[in-house]
Amino acid sequence: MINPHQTEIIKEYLRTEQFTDQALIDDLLDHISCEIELQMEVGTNFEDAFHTALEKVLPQEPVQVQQDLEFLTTKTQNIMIKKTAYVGGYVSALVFCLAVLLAVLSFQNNALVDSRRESLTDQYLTVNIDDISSEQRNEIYQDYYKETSALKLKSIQQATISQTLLIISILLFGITYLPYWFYIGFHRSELQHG
Amino acid sequence: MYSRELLKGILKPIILKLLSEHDKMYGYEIVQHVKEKTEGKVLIKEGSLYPTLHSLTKEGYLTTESVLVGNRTRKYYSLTKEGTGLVVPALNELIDFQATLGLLFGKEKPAVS
Repeated sequence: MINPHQTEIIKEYLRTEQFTDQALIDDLLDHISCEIELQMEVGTNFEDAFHTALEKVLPQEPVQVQQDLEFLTTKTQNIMIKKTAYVGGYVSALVFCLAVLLAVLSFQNNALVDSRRESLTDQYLTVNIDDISSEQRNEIYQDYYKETSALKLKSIQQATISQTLLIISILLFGITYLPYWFYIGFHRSELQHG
Repeated sequence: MYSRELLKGILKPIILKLLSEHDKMYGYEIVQHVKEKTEGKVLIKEGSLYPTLHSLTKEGYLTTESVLVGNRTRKYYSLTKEGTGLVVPALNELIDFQATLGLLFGKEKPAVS
């Protein structure tokens, strides 16, 4: 029979391997202990027996056992919630990326407006407005509008859409993935301490 | 030794059958019993056994009894009334499946070994 200290070593190993389901920990602890005791009966020391038992009992990724258990004991309804949470999380990330992209474009256009405005002002400062015809004057105004105001409007539109998308993204994340994430955390702590 | 994939589908009937023949059993005992009875051909992996045992318990087919062995808890699994009722249909389904496989692979009753 293995001693309390050795039992603690096995328990600690299971905890470090991310096992949180107490019922499963009890089962695996007993199972691994049985394997170790069997080997210790024929003269193997605890360390070697423990190592061999782990190789024999647990798969390469031990926590897979708990994931299989969760999968088997999770009802279809919970799977649907999980799917919804993941889809919601994915869409919100996508919308967030679009919002960032539009914000960057808006910022770029804004910077472009400033630089164009400066260059057009420099260009037309040398022209005496009274010396040119009204057609030429209109052309200058149109140029000015085309190069600056239209771009400025586009930049404002992009900023508005970006803000709207950002709000949608936060809302989506808040009503789909976030509650699920908190629920999983709560569920895990319940398993650990309950 | 049969592959894990092949054994996965028949794990539930194996557990139900064993527990119908024994009053109660714990995980390690189930693995060893199956190994001995099948002369090492059916090796149940612990990674499949415990999720299946817990799933059957959650579905109400098994019940557990915890016993302190030394300084650890050993869980004995036994059939509930619902679980007992599931044994015959589960075994019949498996036998029927075995016969169907016989139709597919050319033998009506495949060899036991």
